[in-house]
Amino acid sequence: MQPAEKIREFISKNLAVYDEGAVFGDDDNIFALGFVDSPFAIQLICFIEEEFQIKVADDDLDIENFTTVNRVVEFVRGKKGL
Amino acid sequence: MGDVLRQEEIVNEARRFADEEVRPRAGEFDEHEELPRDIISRMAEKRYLLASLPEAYGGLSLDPLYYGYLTEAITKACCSTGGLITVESSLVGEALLRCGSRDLKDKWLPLMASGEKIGAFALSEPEVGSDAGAIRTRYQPEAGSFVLDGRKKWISFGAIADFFIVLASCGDQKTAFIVEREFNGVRTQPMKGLLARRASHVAEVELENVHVPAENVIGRPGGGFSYVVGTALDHGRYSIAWSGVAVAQEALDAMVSYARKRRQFDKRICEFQLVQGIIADAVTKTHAARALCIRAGELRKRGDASAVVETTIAKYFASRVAVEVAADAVQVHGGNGCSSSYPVERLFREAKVLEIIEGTSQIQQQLIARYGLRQYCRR
Repeated sequence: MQPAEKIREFISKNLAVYDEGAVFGDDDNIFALGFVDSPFAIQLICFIEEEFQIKVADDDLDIENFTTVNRVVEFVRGKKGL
Repeated sequence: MGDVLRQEEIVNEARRFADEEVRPRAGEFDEHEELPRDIISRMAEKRYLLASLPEAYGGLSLDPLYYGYLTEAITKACCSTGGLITVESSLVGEALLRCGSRDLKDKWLPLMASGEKIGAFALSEPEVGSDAGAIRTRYQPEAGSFVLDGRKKWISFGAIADFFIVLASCGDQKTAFIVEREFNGVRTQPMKGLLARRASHVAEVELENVHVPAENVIGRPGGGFSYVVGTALDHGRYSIAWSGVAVAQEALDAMVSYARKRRQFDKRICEFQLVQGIIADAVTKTHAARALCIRAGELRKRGDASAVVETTIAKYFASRVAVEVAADAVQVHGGNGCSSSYPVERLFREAKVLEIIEGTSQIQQQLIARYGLRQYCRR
């Protein structure tokens, strides 16, 4: 599975909305849309570290790095030097 | 295997320390509303203050499971003493470790570990509790620094803290700062007459035109709520979950010991089936709470993202069990349970606070319900 698919799947499993029609694109800001709850920011960091075996440093903890699927993919690729 | 043995020995020593040096004085701490400096110094000597943090910073590098066991051991003897570990390790220490710059970590963590500096986590306010995102303490950038104004309340160890992690807002942005007690405009007022945690030096903290240097920002400006508060509360809930197990187990020990000695109707009261029913429920609930904490600890050890919700479940359940078992322990003690001559009176009060701090049970229920609604829907 590609990084984008893994990230999309993780977000989908953790949506805080129950509308079956709730969908998000790879450039949609899941925080601004209210699709996730407050603990999700930390859960997402745990997931990224475990799944992609990278360390998210204090300098990386900018919410802008993690608001959309594409931004998370970009962040992971940057960390892995891809 | 070597590290497991090392950690087991630390926890065994913590149990001895709690039995010999903490439990005998717990009533005195509660009565005098003070955790004395000598106990804080002893905890620092034993490196308990930052037990979960790396040894490089003066901690014990305990993994989450053994950190839980240590928290249980100390909190079981005295909730305020255990509370100091929660504040230093889980709230302030872990937030700094995860979100702080190298300079902040290098400066503050060793000082905290040695007990030279006490940190406190200043989030709640007079008008802001569960709705933490609505904080009213404000900051304004000014000539390379920040100016803070506001008031914080219910700050554990705030009356003796040397510095505070303060969450403040500027427009939509929320940022966390290290505010030192010696900065101009910082005042604290101890809060007395509390239901519990009386020895935890709980205080109000007033910030009036406090100038904070830019290097004291924790993480990036705007990341205060999602990451600094998120990290602190996640670790704090884990610590409180184990505190629930601690209070329940201490109450259970007291309940059983009393029921085996107390005689009524020419029998020991433990021989009555209705009392045995209370004991059976207390044993079962306490074991179940501990199992949830162990499960959360194992997931945390693996860095599994589901540890966040499992920790929430453990905190919600263990704090409720603490309330129920402590109440039943008072019931088994009868009139004696209503007297401060017996520890269950204090445990009864201490248990209730666990359902409120680090997120009320109702906030935990909301988070757990959201998890259940997405996890267990047949499609």
